Amino acid sequence: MVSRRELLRIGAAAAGSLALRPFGISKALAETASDYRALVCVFLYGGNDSNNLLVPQDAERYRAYLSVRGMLALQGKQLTPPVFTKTGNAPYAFHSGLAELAQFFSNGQLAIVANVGSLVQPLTAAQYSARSAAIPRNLFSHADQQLQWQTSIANADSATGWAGRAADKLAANSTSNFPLVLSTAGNCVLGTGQTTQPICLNPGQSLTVPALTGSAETTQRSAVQALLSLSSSAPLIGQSNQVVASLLSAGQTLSAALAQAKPLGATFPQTTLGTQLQQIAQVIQIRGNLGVNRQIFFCALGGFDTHASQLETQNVLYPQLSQGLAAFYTGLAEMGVQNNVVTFTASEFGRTFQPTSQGDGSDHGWGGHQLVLGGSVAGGEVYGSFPKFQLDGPDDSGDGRGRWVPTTSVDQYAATLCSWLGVSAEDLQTILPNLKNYPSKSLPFLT
Amino acid sequence: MKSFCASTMLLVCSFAFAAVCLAQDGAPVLASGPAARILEQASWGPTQASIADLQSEGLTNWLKEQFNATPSTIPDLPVASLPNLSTNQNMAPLVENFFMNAVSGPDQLRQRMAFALSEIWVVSEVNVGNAPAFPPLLRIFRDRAFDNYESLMRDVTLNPAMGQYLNLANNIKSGRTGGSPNENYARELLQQFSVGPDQLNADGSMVLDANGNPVEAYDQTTVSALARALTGWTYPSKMGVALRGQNAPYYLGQMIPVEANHDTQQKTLFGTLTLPAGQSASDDLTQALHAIFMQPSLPPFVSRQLIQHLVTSNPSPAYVERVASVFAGNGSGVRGDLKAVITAILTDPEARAGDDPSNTGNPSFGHLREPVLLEANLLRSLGLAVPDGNSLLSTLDAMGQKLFYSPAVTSYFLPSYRTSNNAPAPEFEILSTQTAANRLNTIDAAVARSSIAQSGASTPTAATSSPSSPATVNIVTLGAKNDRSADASSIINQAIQKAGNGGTVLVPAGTYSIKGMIFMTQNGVTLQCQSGAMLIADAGLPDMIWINASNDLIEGCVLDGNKAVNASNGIGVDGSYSTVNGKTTITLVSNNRITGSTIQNFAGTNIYADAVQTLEVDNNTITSGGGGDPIGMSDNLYNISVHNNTITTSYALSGGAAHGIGIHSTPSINGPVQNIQVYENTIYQGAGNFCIEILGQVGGQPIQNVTVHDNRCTFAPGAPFINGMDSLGQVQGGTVQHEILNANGQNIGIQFIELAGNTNNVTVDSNLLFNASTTNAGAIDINGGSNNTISNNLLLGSGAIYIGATGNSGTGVPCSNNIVKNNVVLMSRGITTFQRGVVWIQANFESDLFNGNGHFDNNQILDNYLVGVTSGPVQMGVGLENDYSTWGTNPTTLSGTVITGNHIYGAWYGIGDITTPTTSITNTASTGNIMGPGVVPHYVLGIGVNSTSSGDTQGTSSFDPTVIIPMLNASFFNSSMSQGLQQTLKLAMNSMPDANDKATAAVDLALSSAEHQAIEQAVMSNTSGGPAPADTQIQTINNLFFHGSMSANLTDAVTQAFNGAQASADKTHAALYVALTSSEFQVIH
Repeated sequence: MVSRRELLRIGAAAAGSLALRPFGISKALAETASDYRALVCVFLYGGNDSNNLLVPQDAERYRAYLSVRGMLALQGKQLTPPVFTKTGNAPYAFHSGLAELAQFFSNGQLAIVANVGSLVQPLTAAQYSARSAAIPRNLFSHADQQLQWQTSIANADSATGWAGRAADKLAANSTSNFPLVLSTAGNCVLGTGQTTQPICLNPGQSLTVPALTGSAETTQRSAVQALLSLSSSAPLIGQSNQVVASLLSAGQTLSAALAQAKPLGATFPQTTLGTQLQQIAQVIQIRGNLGVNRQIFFCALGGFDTHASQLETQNVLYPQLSQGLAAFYTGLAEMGVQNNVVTFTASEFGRTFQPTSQGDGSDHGWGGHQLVLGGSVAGGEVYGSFPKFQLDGPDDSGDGRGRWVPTTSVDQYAATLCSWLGVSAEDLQTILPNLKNYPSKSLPFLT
Repeated sequence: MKSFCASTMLLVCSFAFAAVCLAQDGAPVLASGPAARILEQASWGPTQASIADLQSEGLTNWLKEQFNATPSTIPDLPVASLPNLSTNQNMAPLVENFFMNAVSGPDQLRQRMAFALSEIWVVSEVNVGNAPAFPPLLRIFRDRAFDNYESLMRDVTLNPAMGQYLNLANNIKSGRTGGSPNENYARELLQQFSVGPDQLNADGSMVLDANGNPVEAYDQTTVSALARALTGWTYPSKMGVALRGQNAPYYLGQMIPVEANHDTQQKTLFGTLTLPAGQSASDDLTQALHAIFMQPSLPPFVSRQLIQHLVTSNPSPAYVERVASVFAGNGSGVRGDLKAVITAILTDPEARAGDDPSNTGNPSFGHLREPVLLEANLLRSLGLAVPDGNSLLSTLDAMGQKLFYSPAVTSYFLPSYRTSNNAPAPEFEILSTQTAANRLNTIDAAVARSSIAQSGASTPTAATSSPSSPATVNIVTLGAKNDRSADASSIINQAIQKAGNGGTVLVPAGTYSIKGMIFMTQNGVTLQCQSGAMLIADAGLPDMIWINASNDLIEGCVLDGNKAVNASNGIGVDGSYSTVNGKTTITLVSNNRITGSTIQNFAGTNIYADAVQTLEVDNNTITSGGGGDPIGMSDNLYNISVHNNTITTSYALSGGAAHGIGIHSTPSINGPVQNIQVYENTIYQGAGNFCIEILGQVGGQPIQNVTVHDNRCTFAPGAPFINGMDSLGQVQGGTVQHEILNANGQNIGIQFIELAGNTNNVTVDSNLLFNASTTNAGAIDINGGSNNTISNNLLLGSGAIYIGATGNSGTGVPCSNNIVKNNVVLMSRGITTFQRGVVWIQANFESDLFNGNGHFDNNQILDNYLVGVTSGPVQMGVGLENDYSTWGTNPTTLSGTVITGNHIYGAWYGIGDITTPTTSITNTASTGNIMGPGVVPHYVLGIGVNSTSSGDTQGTSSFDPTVIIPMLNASFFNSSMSQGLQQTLKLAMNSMPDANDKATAAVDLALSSAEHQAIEQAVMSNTSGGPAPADTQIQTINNLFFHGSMSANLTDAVTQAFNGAQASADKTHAALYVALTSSEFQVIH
């Protein structure tokens, strides 16, 4: 038995050897970057109040903001110094916890897509109030809008997500059997397709199954494999078999490949999100071993359902988001793939512009702003249409609390990301069945 | 009242997992398969005890009993874990309490219902961040589980933990800040807890408008209005603290209204229902909740989720509608009666259809075992100790369900979640490759901790994760005298408590005086004696060591009862019985082991057990000193393994009554006895009774699943009368294999092997009796029972193989469908009493003395060598006898006997019947039987009416005793007997005068050969223990974990794993691992 003290000593030695070789990436791996593209979804569970993510700093809008947001209004050191859009030089400030992102915005690697949300078709507040056009089902519901963001089908049930359906198409061109979608946050409908099942690997955990992979366990392994090879007429047993079969094939491939990964020089914050992004960076590093040149990653951070204590909560969550994304970008640059990977946020809904009666929180809303980060991003811009800060105004969905009717749909947002990944315009029609409803199919935030 | 399984019923039900069997009185009685399946839906997993309980109660009575069972306790937690912390975030004690209740609480159904409700009405520690908030909330689910849903709605709405989680606490009317009342609780109350977002029909399907679109159950206007209606509530005032408008969080009691913060304007809910202006907070709340409660969507919305949590992910609309209609009205006009709802859910035909395993009509039935349920199932069914709370939390977190830390108000998984194939499958939302890996590894660890898999592994491991290393307490260090100069018992008792769970009490060499009982009442203690250590009784103790705990181990001790003081018992392993209001609750002790010890000179029983689960007694040397069985156990026994012990009984010491090993169910206690393994013991029997008796006494419960193999029994020379080797009575299912009895020249008092009254589905195969002298009694008897097989036995110097119904225990029991095949019966030369046949089927009066109805039908006698005694009192090779067919109202039948391919020697006739009247033996079919010289093929009165025979002929050759050589080789040499030894045996036979001498000489030579000694050594010195044969173990796994419905494919895979593992201790582990990690186990169906 190794004693606890010895383990600590060994751990220290390992850390020491790590420190000696901060740039452990082999040149060969970096050279495979040419035809590699990946999307990374960062899902902000709970409904992020993006009214406080990015705050307009022009006098008129900031005054409107202060007048409605009350205790929630960010002022002074609660905001970063102003940044300016490349086009039009419009002033905005980020929440002070997002300082790194403000820098990426200024450097042109980060774009904001304003007021994105679930829609069936283009919709005005007036149409919504009159119910004179198709609207998403069960608005203002966590479960429903989380699903709609991931399925991009807001008017019907779907068990598959837009990224999973995109992966189904891309997998046809893949020479590897390894799943194109990997999640560090458990199952995600986003990455589930008709044929694509995400492989899930939680940071700090392992997909190894010693009882089935040890050299002495051949009998157990062959018995289990024999069972998995049989088809079952029971759908639930079949689904369970499928997950375990994926674990024992792709999971073991991934474990073996990750054992070859070299430590990255970038320092990832050891937070919920930071460790997930670190895990994703490691998988990107060993993509050659997996034989894939298109990937979609899913990671998530919860806690954004800020009905109360919103300022305190965002003061914790936003730095985690910002510092995690910054470390991730550094890691990608270290591997030379910062132009090959696009990271984007999603969140089921924005929140009411008007706070609650206690003043320290906000209720469920609809449209919200999202972040897109990467070397291929046409950054330093706010895309789409920023809502007008007016209760019962043109963007308010009707009951005077500032639940913004989205001006960009998830379909358009997803279509832009999928196109960049290499999905054809023709395939987009089936992946995003409601895209046909929009005159403009995408936004120009990716090059 | 117990609807005890009557004997004839068991013929139909035992091991046949028919859905429902009928007892003699016509009342339905559950078979064990359906009982286990119900317990998957209505408890935290079946155990052998709970299966037996439900079987005897029946579902209806069991439900009533569950409704009245004492609710488990959920104690409050301290408000802060340290003086300088403002909150106590330690949830571990609560989680541990939860699993303690799940594993051993009597209120299983209440707990399952409460847990289901807690997964609908979600509060999460992720946001609350204060552990003391939870017990009061959990007590609401517990206390309202069988109450009314509207009461539940009110209680949870006013619960401070919920108030904090969804911001109802301190929610105030508009005005102070310009904001609007917080909508959080109002929205989730509607969306998650009561009606759901869409209007539902009574069958749970969505109401559709004229265009085929869903209709929302409420709109934003209703959410806003409800939020206003529910303003004005704050936390209860802590004792001694004045009420403020907005109290600080305090969790005991209900939230209280502060009217100044309540919105008193008019509100309209659901478009039509008005709460008038000016109402109090309390009136608005009551009326709003009632309005929600009366929504038509509520019964199907809640009913469907409860069905999903307890029974199946994809209930049919008709099932939902049946339950929802009970929810809407319980038959007495009460809406929301949860007792009626849960009864409707569990007794619905759709829930019960799968009780019949042949019913494969609904392949999509069932649901994935969610991690909390999986963990509870493993702990209960594998008999594991509950780990500490932190280790439980980390296990559950890894599997995707960190108990009480739901990631969101939408719970751990969504009721609406579907697989990519669109199959409704809520729990699958948290089954990913990662959580699947963690599940497999959790199951592996649980199986490793289980002593079911460890039978014989070095030490039963107590499931503690105590951070400190286990204590070892030396009793001499504590002051015990090793020269017998002072009583050591109280010091040993101190040492046991001091060692604690996981610790060891060390007894160094020396002799210790024991004047008081040693109480092993602490779980997880090892009593380890060093070589040369002896505990000797110096007072007339009832028990020297009393184990009333689990995971205890006694190893290497010499315990001496000291005849001078007349100490009664050596070691008692003893669960607890307590009776409250006429209902007896049994608490089993589990996972104990007694190994490598010597237990001698006790006046009573050396080792006894009662109300235990998973007990192993192995590699001990035991000498009886009195009249009790050296190893004696009775009632409420599950998973008992007695192996590799050496046991000596002596007529001189015991006075003649003891069995070597006696395992019984008794009429007085009437508890189940299941899964009994007795193997590889060596018994020197001089006491007069059977070497091994496993018997359900008349009026006691039948014994299920018995495995007896490779025991060696030798009769002591000079013993006046010894019954025989093995007696099984009222046993349902089992095997007796590879037993050897050396009668050592003695008479066999009753039988070599007896299957006593009402023993069914037992195989007696490849056993050897030899050196019996003047046997007049039976060789192998079926004294009442059916579907038994007697095959490949070698009976030298025996009486007849007898099928009849004798003695009290055989009364009223049919003897049909038994098979007697490939045996060699060489009758005793000294036989003096009349034998109707070498195989003798006797339809006798005891079969059904008063009513007729005796049945002795369709037995088969195939391919045996039946050798009687030439010129002795042996009438026939196969004798059929029906003497009492005129008794009672219906004739006793002896019909359909098949007699084929036998070789018959040394009898007056080959085959024949004796019957009164002559028509009462019918439909005998005999074919191709060969008689020896002087044996007339058929009796003068024939072989029965409507009978046929062909090819029964008299041959010219005598019995050739060399036929026993291949049998010896197959049964006791693993078919590896050398050609040289086979030649030696033939030569030895040549030199002997007659067939009996030839056979006995060959057996003596074979068993004393070096080849056999080497094989025997390997078998009998099995100090590491070993599991029973594959089929027995797999049967146990099937019963306990698959309610008897394991598929053929899974059975094959589990068998493959079992047989493929090398070490015997690994075999069960491999089998359990493959079984429990299979998708067939993950999905409860």
